[in-house]
Amino acid sequence: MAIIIYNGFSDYMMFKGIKNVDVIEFKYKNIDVGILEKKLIEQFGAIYAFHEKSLGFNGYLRNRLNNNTGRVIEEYKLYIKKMASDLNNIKRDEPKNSFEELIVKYGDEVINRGEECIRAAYNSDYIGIITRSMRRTEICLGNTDFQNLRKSNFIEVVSFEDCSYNMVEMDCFCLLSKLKRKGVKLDFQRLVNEFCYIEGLDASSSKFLIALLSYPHEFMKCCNKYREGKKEWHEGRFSEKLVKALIQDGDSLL
Amino acid sequence: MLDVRYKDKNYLSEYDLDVNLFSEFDLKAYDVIPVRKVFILNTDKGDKVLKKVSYSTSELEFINYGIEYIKNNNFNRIIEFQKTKNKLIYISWKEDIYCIMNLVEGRECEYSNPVDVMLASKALAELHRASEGLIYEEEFQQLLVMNPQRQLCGRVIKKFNKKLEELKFFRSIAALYENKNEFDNIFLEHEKYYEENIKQSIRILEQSEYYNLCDEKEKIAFCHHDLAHHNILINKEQVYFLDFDYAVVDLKVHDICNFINKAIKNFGFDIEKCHSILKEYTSVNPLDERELRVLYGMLSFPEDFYSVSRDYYTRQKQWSEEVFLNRLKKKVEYREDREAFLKAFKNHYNC
Repeated sequence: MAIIIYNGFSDYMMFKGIKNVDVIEFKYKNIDVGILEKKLIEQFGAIYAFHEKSLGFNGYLRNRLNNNTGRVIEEYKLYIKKMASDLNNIKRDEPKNSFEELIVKYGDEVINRGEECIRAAYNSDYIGIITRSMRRTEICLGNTDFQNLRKSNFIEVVSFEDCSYNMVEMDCFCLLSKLKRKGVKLDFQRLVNEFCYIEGLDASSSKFLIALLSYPHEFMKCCNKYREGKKEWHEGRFSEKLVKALIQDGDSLL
Repeated sequence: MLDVRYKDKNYLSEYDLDVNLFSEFDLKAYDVIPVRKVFILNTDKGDKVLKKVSYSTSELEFINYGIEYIKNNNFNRIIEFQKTKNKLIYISWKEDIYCIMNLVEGRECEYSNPVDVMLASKALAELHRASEGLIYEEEFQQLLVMNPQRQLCGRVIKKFNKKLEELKFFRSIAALYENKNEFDNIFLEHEKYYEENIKQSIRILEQSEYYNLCDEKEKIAFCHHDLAHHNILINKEQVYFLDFDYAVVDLKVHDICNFINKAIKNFGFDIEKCHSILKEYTSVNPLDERELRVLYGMLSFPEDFYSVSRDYYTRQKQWSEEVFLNRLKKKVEYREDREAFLKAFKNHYNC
């Protein structure tokens, strides 16, 4: 008997009954927070329905499926390390511009917050969460935005390109993290609890998600861009972005 | 329809997928699927892997002897060669050598996953344990004599000195170029620093008990020597090792060094990751202070900078200029992290 080989993971998902659609209309504009929270909980249902079908895949693929397990935590640890090194260098040589002055002003605080998030993530039984994810062969969609995933009569997905082996919690994190950084004032603790309830996850997953959502993501990203020099922004633009990042990261949920 | 782009298509196109080749192994192939540099075969006797071997049959016999020994020592999570009708593990086919192995199912190990890293480290220790005593085997000793390049034990200082000379030579070539490109400029800017790294690595090894350790047979193992994440598969928390193409006989710490380097280099040379690797490894296979000092000497060798420079100036890889450049940039970028890691290692393990 010939073995079944899928070109990509999307083929397998379609074989499992998920519909690949061209576009899903959704507009965030002027949406009421209460309605958005309701829609998010519905979206968690769609994510769970996706996970039910993706879980346990063990077939052959011509296009390999990425494995992103542990990647976010490793990246976050790396950002802290780089930021600490930048901060030391700036303090040693004196700030060269307004952006670096802001780094000196807020750097230590941001680094402490980042480290606290990593500690909280590990203390939430990070290793246990990964082990569970490996045992069940959990596969995430990656892009769980309303414009990429919808559950109606069928589960509909626009793009499968961010699918990867990962802990199912990460599909909730991607969705909520984007909204948190947009400054939407949601009850994140309640939403995280709802997600864990729908997925049948325990309190450690909820603690893990809150730790990740509290990480100063935007501030670190802005510093990375400055360090790498890929964006040809002048220092004033970088400073504006950094001030904005402080607002986007908001308060820690820990 | 096949819509994927194969990175290794040039290499794969050199395979001869003749059904007669498969029948030499007493197999009927129903389907072939390219994966990296090999083909998966769906056959009447299950799923197999077809591999074109790029070294001598004597080396293949060396590898097979090591693998069989390990398997007989209760470590089964390893490849197994399919025998031909003539009871050989390979076939010479139109100037090439092919072998077929059983397919190991599982997903590739991921070094960002701390659980994968811990499992792989423990399994490496078990693999090494299972190879204990191999070098006492008379037949294996003969194979080693026939394949002296596979015997690295006692040769590391000499090899590092050779690599130091090579690096200096690449510097002299790059310095001569009238029109230097970006790679040459970055290489020349950092070469001296890495030369010093090699000298330091040699000094540490010379001051260590390296040669005495090489005389102690229980410190020696059948080393995999290419512990890239894709050569380690994980299935239901069981770790499988693939691709022993580069296997050598050397101190156990050789493989540990190889594994640590690969597992930490993309994660800011995280010393905690290294501690976790050594903790898991030593829970099965303890390492003494002398071995840790030799490991420190080996880790101090800038393998990444050396190998990308060698591959570039000796045209050993078919990579584009851009790929070489990006890789070199990445290697020199983590210089500070690497330095901090080595310092932390030295302090923690009293090297």
